[in-house]
Amino acid sequence: MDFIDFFEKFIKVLVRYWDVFLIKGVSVTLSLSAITVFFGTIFGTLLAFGKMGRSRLLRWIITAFVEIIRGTPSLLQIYVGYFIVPLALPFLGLSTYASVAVALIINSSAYVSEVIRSGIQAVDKGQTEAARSLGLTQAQAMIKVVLPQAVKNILPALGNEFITIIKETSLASTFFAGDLMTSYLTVNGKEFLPLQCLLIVGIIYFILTFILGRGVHALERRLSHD
Amino acid sequence: MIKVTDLHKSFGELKVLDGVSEQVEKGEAVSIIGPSGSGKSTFLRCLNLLEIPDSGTVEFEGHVLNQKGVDINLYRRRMGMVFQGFNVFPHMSCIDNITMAPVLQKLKTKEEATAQAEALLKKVGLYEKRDEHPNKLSGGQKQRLAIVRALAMEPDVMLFDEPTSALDPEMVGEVLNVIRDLVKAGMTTVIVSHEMGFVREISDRVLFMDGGNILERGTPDDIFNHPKNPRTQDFLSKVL
Amino acid sequence: MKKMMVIALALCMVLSIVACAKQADKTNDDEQPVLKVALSPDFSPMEFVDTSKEGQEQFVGFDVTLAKHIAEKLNMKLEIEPMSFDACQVAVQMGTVDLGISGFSWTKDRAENYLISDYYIAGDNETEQVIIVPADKAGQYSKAEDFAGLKIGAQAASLQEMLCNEALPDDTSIELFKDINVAVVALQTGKVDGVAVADGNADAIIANNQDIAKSGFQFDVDPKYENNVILLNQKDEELLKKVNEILADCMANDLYSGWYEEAKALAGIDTAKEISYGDDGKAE
Repeated sequence: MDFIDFFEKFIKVLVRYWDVFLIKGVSVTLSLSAITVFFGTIFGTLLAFGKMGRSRLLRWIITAFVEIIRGTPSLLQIYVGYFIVPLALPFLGLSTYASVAVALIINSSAYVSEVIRSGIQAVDKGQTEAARSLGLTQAQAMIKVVLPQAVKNILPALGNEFITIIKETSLASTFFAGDLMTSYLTVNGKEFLPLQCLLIVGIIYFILTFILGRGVHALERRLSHD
Repeated sequence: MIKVTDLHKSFGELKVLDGVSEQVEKGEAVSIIGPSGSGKSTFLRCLNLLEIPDSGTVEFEGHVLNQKGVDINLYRRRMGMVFQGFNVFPHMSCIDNITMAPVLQKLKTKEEATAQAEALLKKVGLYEKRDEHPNKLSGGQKQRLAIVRALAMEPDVMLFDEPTSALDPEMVGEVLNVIRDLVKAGMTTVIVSHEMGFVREISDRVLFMDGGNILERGTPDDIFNHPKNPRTQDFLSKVL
Repeated sequence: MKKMMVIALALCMVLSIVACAKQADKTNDDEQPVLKVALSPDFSPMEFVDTSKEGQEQFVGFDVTLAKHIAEKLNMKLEIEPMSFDACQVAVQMGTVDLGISGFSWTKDRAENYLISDYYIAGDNETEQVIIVPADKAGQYSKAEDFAGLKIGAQAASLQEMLCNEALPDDTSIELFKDINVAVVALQTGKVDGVAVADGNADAIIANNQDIAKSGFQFDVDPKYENNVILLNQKDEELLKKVNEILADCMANDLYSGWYEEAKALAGIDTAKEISYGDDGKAE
């Protein structure tokens, strides 16, 4: 391979399509990740509490759900989100973006529920007992004593989930949802310069995840400080 | 004040309490001694239902606690508990550790609770630590904080679950002093402890537990000087 | 408490889905029924994306022109659903779309699982199948035997894979790739000695990669395989009939070659300009 030629092509693609990668691709990837993590956290929290709750049936259902999501390829889940969900709920009129988002949210909620559950369970049982012995209800003990401590365990793990999701959103390109990997597919589909296009996309993914990773690291250090 | 009748409790296959019955009167200081695994801590934890007994009843001032429809939280307020592992809240300052429960349960205003907490901290010599987080405290200081945290609820009974077992030897004294003052002030106290000298000194009555039951009960003099049960004799010969 | 949680869960679920749902998909407002077509727009000049445009406008290429023509003849409103090549077939099977028009060729397996239209001809794209090789070795090959003992790449489950298996010597090892772009990278990095592609794609690839050239070898393509087809759901017998009529009409009026030249121009002129006046102003 001729590296000068390779680099020239690289620059050419970048100059011509920078907005496709940096504006369209990055904005969709980031918004999709943010939506996924946001709702994934909400549902993940509900799932985590359901799994720690008293109803045996609910616990069983949630365990089965989490196992299925963790045990099947995300690609399959994206297919299900795109094809099956609109079929089951046609009245919603989901766009491609929305149905992909639904699939990613379902996927992420399963992982987040485990993050939150283990974060809560990592808090010493004695803390709950002490709170209960002071007359706090179960809910009060959870809110006032356990959760503030669990957050320390959970937040960095959620940050890492965000980073994972950023890479996971590349699956949205299966349906050309407009994320960074879709930018790769469309630009390359025209230019047939796969290595250059992949390299551009790869660098952008790396910058995004690296910055976030630093952020998570800083957060982790601050939390362990106090 | 507290009366338990025929308590049974098992953890899986393991039988921990095997028909315990006992009564604690107002103003009494009762100590529970016995080998580890004898069910002392479980018995104590049954008194405020941190453990739910499988059968038998726990009564507080004539009210059966372990039955449906009882708001156990109302009774727990009146039974302070101190744990072996301190269990102070690491995410709150010392003063907040103390004021959180009374304020949350609307027993006191924030101002009242703070004034009371400051008085309590002064009493146990931790006033200057009021705004520190507990990770800045030594073990003995943590346990003193845990004691005043329980006292802030103005309980009728204090339950101590091996309060000095997790402490370095040089810190045991400062914690025992606080407990001693409480007993002297007439607080009804149930304490599980391995500090035999202390037990002998402060107790009105001593219970010896082994194998999930109370095998012998009496004054410190009865138990320590004239033990009747051979298991009590055996135990004391090992620990004294 | 438990009930409240279930209700909260359901509520959040519905809210978030509704929040995500775009209203833009309301195509029922105007009377025209919608013809949904799945295609994988990463395959110039058959179907690709004009990155300067948005929405339905952005999809261009030969198959897109054909889809527009079919929709017009059916008096329907065309809606293109972009998705990966594999997903296109799922979409047809599930009935999510009416047609799959994405450079599909006829295979026995496809014929079992889908309704398949009559052929359409995308210029020389499918009629000529070649092997591309590193430019410095382009002169060494002229017949199938010249590839004996070499590694040749092809897209999995493609016409090219079938051709390689049929035509190349037994000791040629056929390396399969998920898509043609990966195969091109494999060629550039020496993982394979050649890649089997449709001639039209070969032109597009070579236009931007001067280190690659056609080998001089051309497959002898069985007429059965040589052209493209449209995939339909097995239930859509009615639609198949209409589509075949339209295709026959296109053939009779010789519309294909014009469309193909247009598509090529759209994909190629662009590239050609870039090549002759590179960013540094130097002709390449």
